[in-house]
Amino acid sequence: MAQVELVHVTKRFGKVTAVNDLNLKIEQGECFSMLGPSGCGKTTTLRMLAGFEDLDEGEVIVGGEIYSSSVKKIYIPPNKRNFAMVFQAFAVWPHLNVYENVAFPLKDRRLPKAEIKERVDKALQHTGLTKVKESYPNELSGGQQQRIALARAIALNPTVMLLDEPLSNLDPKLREEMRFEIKELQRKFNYTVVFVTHDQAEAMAISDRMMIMDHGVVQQVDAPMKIYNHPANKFVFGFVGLSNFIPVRVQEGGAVVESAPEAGVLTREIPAGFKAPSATLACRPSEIAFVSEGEGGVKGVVKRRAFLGEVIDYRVMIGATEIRVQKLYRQGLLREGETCYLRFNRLHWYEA
Amino acid sequence: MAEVRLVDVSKHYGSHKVIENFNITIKDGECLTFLGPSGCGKTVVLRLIAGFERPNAGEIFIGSTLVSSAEKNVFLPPEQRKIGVVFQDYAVWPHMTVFENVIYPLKIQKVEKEEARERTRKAIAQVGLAGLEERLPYQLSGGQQQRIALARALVSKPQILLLDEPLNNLDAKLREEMRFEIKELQKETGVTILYVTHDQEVALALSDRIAIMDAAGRIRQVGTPEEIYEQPADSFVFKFMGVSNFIPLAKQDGRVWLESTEEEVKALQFLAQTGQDGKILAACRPSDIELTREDTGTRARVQRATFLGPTIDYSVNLGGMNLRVQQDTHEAISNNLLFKEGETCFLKFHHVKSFAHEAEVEGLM
Amino acid sequence: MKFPRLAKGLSGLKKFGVAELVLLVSIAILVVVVAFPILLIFWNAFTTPEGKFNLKDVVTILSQPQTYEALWNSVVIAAGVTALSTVLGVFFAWLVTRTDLPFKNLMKLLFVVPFMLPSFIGAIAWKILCSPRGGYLNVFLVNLLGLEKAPFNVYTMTGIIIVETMYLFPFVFIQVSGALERMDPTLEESALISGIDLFTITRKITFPLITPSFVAGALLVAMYSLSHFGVPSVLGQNAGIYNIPTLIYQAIHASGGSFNAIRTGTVLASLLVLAAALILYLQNLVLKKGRYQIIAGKSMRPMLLKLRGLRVPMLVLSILYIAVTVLLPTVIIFLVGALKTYGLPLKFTNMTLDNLKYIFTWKMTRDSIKNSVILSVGAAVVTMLVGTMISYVIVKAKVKGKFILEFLGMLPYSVPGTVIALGVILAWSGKFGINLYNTAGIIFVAYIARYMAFALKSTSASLEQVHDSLEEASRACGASHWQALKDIVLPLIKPGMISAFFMIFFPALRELTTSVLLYGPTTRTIGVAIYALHEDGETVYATALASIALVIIVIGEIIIRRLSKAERRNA
Repeated sequence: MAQVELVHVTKRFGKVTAVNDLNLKIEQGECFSMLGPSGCGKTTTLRMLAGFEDLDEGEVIVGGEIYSSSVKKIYIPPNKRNFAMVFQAFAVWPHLNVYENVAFPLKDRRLPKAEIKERVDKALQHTGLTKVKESYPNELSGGQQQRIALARAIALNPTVMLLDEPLSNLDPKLREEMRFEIKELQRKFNYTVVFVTHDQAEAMAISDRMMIMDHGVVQQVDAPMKIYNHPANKFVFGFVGLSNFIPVRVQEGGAVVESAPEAGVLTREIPAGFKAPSATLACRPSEIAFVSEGEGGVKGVVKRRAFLGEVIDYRVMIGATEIRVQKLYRQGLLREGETCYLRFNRLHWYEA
Repeated sequence: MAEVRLVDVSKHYGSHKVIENFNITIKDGECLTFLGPSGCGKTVVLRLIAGFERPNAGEIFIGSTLVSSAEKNVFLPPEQRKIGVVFQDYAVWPHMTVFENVIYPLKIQKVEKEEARERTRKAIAQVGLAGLEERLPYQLSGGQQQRIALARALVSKPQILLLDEPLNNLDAKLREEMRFEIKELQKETGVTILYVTHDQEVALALSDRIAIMDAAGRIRQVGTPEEIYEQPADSFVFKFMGVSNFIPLAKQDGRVWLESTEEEVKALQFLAQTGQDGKILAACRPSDIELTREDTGTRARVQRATFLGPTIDYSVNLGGMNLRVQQDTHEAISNNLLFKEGETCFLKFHHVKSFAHEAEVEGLM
Repeated sequence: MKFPRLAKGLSGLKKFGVAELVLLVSIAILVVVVAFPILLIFWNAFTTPEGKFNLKDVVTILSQPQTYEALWNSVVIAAGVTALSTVLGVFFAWLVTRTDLPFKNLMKLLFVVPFMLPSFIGAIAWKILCSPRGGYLNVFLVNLLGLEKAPFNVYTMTGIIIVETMYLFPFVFIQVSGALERMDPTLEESALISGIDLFTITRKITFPLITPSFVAGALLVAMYSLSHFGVPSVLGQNAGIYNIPTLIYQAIHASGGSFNAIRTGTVLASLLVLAAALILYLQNLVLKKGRYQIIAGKSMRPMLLKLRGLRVPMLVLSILYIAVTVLLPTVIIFLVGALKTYGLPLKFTNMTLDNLKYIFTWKMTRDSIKNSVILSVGAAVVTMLVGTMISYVIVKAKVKGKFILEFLGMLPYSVPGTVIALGVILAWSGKFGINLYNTAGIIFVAYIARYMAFALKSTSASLEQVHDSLEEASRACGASHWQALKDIVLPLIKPGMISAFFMIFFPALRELTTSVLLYGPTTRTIGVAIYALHEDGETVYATALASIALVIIVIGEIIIRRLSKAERRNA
């Protein structure tokens, strides 16, 4: 178990800077996830940590020891790092059965037979694979194959566990289930876990802290609830949930929709320091309420309505600006084409 | 535009009976969705209507024309049925441009050249691909390819449009977008649509009526999305429409007990006001359960709390049973109702449905 | 209805539609062209002329020393070639896919080039180079090093094995490098991060996972080598080394096609068929058992082994290998083809273009070029079209009785060229009403049988990629079955058909094994002409003709590459 530190880490592929001057400290026993759109540099960061990629600049320090350093020309190869990793495509060895898959790395270390058996059995038990330990991977479901990979990682008793989109190849139901399993194992063994994903709900559900990246640059590092409630910028706001971005004009008396100033005032509270005549207001679809005429809402017209079961999904036009609103089914229905009035709660202000 | 009628249709593959005595009418101009788990035979029904498969028994009518009848040895091949089909894998011809793909049905029907070109251009514009006529399919995204397939299916003004999981291969965002577009195209053209899917969200958003099929190929319920959602015919339908909690109960003399531990459930007492005494299966959605600190008489323990952004997802233990509960994050914070794992809480139930108990036997739990 | 039985009969007739007709035609073609000749071989081997079952002759033939020695030689050569090809193929495949060897993509291409060189021409070249009596390389080394005797003798089993290996090893190379490229790199990375070093990973993970591929490649080599005529014939006959195909040729030619010779031939051919069937069975067994899903979901670059100090030596080794196996023989063919007289030193003053001129004016050689071109184009077109039809029925059609066709479709894969030649002799020599003996027709039929497997493989692969929904979509658009076929299916499998054409055209152009048993006075092919000229000691003319053949092949290959590249850009 160890603390992981990345110091001024930069990685370039040709002309593209995949990771740009990344600084990060992951605490011992922490479940940390790296979240971002594909190509944002999260996987590259993980692979540098694992030692599969070398660094162009900076250092990787684990438990106080330098594992990679471009300046000091230090590079500890992946097989000497005492990490464990779980991959998106499972990467279980198809020619070995479940038991052998978990035991192989231990056998390679020439551990005593009794210890190997004990560690493998324990890992299989924790992942619920004891019954199928004689089976071959191709006889098992995707979820079970990923559990083999997890068992293999647990048996190694690693200092750091790296998970590269481990749930992306599973169907939604299983994905949700295994998310909890991973979290439980992490707590039980107090692993330091670094988890890469592009699914924001997954990241929020599993992590103690998370990092959001875009174009190789860190956008925000914080606890999930903090990030959701106080996104550092527009990108983060858009990435962690459904969002409306409304171009507004700031005038005396409040902010109005740029394309339809006459529709009404979105908010009268203008944060200090916002002098610019234009701004972007961000708002979640579930934070918008329909109010009656005369209650001071912004006037719009329902363009589309979709019944999704629990929630009704509306697209409301305010002038030329489309606003997405989600309401619980039981909170009443509006028809398409109907005029409505919107009240915006919990608005976030960003530069236009 | 036409009504489609299936009368006592059966289809077997060897000894496997996919559907048996299947009856349904798709009304003129409506959008009907077959919703069911994979392998339930919904695609087979679509293929029978299209004429890609022959029924072993029964009759199929499109409008007033008998197109398939096993008994009368009638079988109209697909090309004579005036249908449009959109497949899950797009089935756009890779060696033809967008324009060539879309004009193909009109060429086959020998529509006069100028008219054909005009209609093709219109159909391409209708699905939002104007300007891309000369592109080859591989130069387009999955969503655009599926739009070609839609335009191609609509250009010949079919009597019925058959859609076989057309949005499955698209990502979530695009799926949502296309859902609206299909709906809009239907409004514009008035075409009758048969839509096949296993995704209940698409079905709810798109359909005028939904037919829910079970794994044995039987129709469990036919109704509008609201009817299906609010008045599910049985626990199968309820379960299929979203994340579900089922609580097996026994009721007598105005009181209800958990069947497993015989604990009384005060919060569900209202279920005992109506109906006969005996066993029932209570069902509700995660958002129908409220976690509170005021004593409702029904105590539970929080097993797991998961922050998901707009909502917090709980697993709570009630008498050895795990229930899923969903809470609005901001409401929970502002009402000081955040619960930690291991904490005790009280439950309040809303909108609970109750079903006859035998549904449980089907292994739905 | 009044006549229920009649009505039933009529509707039965109605059900016998186009699909059933096509199925019947396809079955008929495969039976007549492939199955029937093979059955005749077994029939001829195991019955007396009166049609009684006869094992005595079989035993007699097999107990002759000549026979079992040839059998033994066949097995030894096949085993040696297979082992050597596997080692070389796996090593070079690993080198170009898993290390940081420089110019990897170029090297990958170069390692497949030996396929272009017909192996019997290669054998002739090596005979010229390494014959113990005056081989150019031997003479050169004797003079250079002051040796007492020639260092190399190519007229040995070892010589045969090495030369065959040079031209057969790409089978293994292609299979293994393909498997290594497609393999999910995370299978290896997951082992590495678990603390296992690269050497152990290669041994315990990588190689076990590609086993099915290299076994498939190795068995292909074994099958090919077992029934290979060219190399053993060119290099073995001087030293009295025979394998089964050369012994069959010997038996039939020595006797001018007597009954006894044919009987000997059919008995030996039966052995070949059985051996081929056994190999095919083994291959299916291995592929079924070890069909691992190792294909990557995400494409990622695999970890490359850093060769460090070995980088340049490995590159030199690879280039040297290509130079020795491809460049050297090719150059020697061109040089000797230009010599005024065979045996002269390879000096510019001894060179002339007269040989080439003579080849083009001499009727025998001119005819051979003409025959080969016509036969290979004809066979390629017919086989491709018939193969497309058969594949369509196998892959797409929903008809009863398809399994018969599926079984018959397997046959062409397992029948060696020598066997086909004997089979068509038995079938088309007038015994069954049609006599094609000594005509180009008999070679044509033999080519169709021999290359049907290629056509089936290529066209069925491309048909499998045409998803049913593409055809169904056009039916839904109002197209009839035929229109759908014409507008959708055929254009989409065109690349597969074209590649089938070339997959048949090129091997047929340089074919020797089959034609050498079938040619008549006016129906020599290029292969036969080169072989015969060489047998007659006309080495200079043989190599001159061979250089023309090589030029045709190389130009052809370049044209296909261009075409298929353009095709891929359009697709």
